[in-house]
Amino acid sequence: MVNSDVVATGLIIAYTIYSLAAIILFVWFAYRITKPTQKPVVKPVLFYSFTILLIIIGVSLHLTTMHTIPWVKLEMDASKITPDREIKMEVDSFKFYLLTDSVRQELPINEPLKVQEGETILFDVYSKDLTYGFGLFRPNNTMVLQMQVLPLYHNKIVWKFTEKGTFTLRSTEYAGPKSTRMLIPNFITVE
Amino acid sequence: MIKFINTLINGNEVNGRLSGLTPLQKLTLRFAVVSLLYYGFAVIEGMIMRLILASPNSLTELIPEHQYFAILTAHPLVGIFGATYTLVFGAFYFALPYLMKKPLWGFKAASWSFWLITIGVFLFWFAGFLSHYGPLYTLYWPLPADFNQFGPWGGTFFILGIALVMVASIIFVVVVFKTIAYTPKGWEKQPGGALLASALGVSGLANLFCKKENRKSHKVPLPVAAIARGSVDVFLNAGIITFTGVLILVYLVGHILGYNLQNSWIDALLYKNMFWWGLDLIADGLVLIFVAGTWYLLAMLITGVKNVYMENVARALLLLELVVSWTVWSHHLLSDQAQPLMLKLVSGQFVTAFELITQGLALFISLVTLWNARPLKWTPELKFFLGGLLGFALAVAAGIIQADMGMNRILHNTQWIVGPHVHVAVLIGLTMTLYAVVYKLLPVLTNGLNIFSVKLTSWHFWLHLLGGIGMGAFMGMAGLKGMLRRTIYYNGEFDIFMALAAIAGAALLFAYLAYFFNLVLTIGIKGIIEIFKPSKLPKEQILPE
Repeated sequence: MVNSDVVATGLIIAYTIYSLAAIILFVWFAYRITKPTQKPVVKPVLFYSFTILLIIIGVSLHLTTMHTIPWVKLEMDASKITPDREIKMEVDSFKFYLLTDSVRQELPINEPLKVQEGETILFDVYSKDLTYGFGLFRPNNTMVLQMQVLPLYHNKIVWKFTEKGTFTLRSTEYAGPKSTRMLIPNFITVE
Repeated sequence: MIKFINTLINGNEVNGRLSGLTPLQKLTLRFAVVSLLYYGFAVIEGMIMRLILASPNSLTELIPEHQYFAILTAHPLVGIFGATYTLVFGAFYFALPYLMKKPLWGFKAASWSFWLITIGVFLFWFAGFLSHYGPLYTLYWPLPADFNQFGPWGGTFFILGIALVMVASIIFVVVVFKTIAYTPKGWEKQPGGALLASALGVSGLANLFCKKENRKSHKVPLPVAAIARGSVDVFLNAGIITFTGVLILVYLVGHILGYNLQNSWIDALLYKNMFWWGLDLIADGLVLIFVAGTWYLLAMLITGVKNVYMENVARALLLLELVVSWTVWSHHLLSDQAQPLMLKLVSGQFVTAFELITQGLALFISLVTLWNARPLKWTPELKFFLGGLLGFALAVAAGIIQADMGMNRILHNTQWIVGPHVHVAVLIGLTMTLYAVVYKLLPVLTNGLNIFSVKLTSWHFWLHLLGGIGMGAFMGMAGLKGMLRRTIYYNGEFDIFMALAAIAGAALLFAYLAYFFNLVLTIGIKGIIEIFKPSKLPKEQILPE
């Protein structure tokens, strides 16, 4: 199953290949540009072909991700999805709180939240003061998901966990120097 | 040693050429000198931050967190306004009259804009540095008015500095449009409306739909059209930033006077949309449009041709990019769940993808213009020009990838954004293009001075190119491994990537030193003083006779 780690690894490979190809092309161009030639000038057909190629690349990127990255469909259909579970949270003065039946518990709590693999979860995060971020990270620090947490808005994201593990919660947005330490290890465990 | 000191004082050639500079040459060179200094600020700040990120535990006692974030706030602003805006303003103040063969309108106003931007940049830099005002350039509401973290006085002077820069920007725009449209004293009446229409792209667009024999000639050269269209975005951007600044100032001054206004009066999402609409005009508007125009200018100057390949398309693309730049801001809000889905899809993804087309074609047109003029000499300006084109080939692709709803979920706010996209675009794409302009125009602006050392220009080129690409690459890899861009990691999570990025950053620092000393040794300390003395020649004169 495609998860964010797979996507990120794929991007490293794809972008490295692209970058090397671009650099090689420019090296070749730089070498040839100083050499005299008898060849005719570049014809417009090449220009229009290149235009079509750019359009295909621009459109195909979005089509590819829409059909291969699972969270895109969740995002597009969020309003129609009934989640298996809802996790409500608040952020205030650089602290995360969990809301259970309107009772506010400051994180970290004794045990990580437990969810089942394949469950669809709705995270509803509300900031009372500043713009924060809500990001989940694997033990090796790679990112699972994130969203911006705008103040005085219910920031909601639907997520289906397709991998087991225990994930760290971290604010992914800068809200002043203290926000850099907003870190909750063992926030959630997927069983 | 004596020879070196002599060159340092007198410059590369002791022949008094700099004392014969016109006021316009001096004005352009003043902008270039200030740009050189502020780029130095940005490089040193960047290097400090690179070292902290590579080894945070050993350095945060020396430079605490709040100072780090104050530097992080000032760094991009000094880079954009202090280094880039000043160089671009100076170059275009010269290029406009040079290309249109008529004097610059409002020389005094242009001089005012020089002092306003110079003082404004120093004011916000110093205020931030001294007071640790650190809401970053993003200024997400209500962070800039969070008085639990930042003092109101530091913020007030910081915003005042930005306001001075915006006033300078608005003056620049007025001078650009007036220069295009006005009739100099004693001249035959100029068709102001037609000149402006041509500059804004009407003739280029109309010609695309006309038969070859019915096509109209363009009233302004292609680079002038780019300057005019980019200036529209400068104006809109200045308006939005000024409005935002006034809003923040109301809160800052209110707090100083003892009135604590409620932060909740401002809607954070609406503010963010408005702010990014304006701020994105710098990144996706004027940078891409100005850069495309500069590419065309360089291609024409280097090859000696009068028209670039596919000129009408190039003009139409500039107009298209202008419209695209007004409608792409939502790619900055793809991870904001409160942002309407339709805006994310249309503005964030699809319109943004147009930038791949506009910038890709501008790159293609520039390359073909060079290609058709083979063989060319392997000069410093050609090297840097190709470096600039390569920078955008790498950075635009990275940008399009992150402007995708699926990819943005894991790329937003990571080092990927600032590495392969922002730093490669600015350092390799934009800055190398501007260096090409400097190397090309230096003899024109200094009445024929040759650069002190061509070898140093090579060192400058390779260190800058490899350093910039290397730094972007290592930051990007760290980002894809989960490293955030506005967070200090104290447990060594990404130390290896950051150490490698710091080594690449050091190459950028050495590249700057090579550039700095080469220019100082070309012009000399006496020459730099001469640049700041008033010229005896008339203000209308573009070059000495």
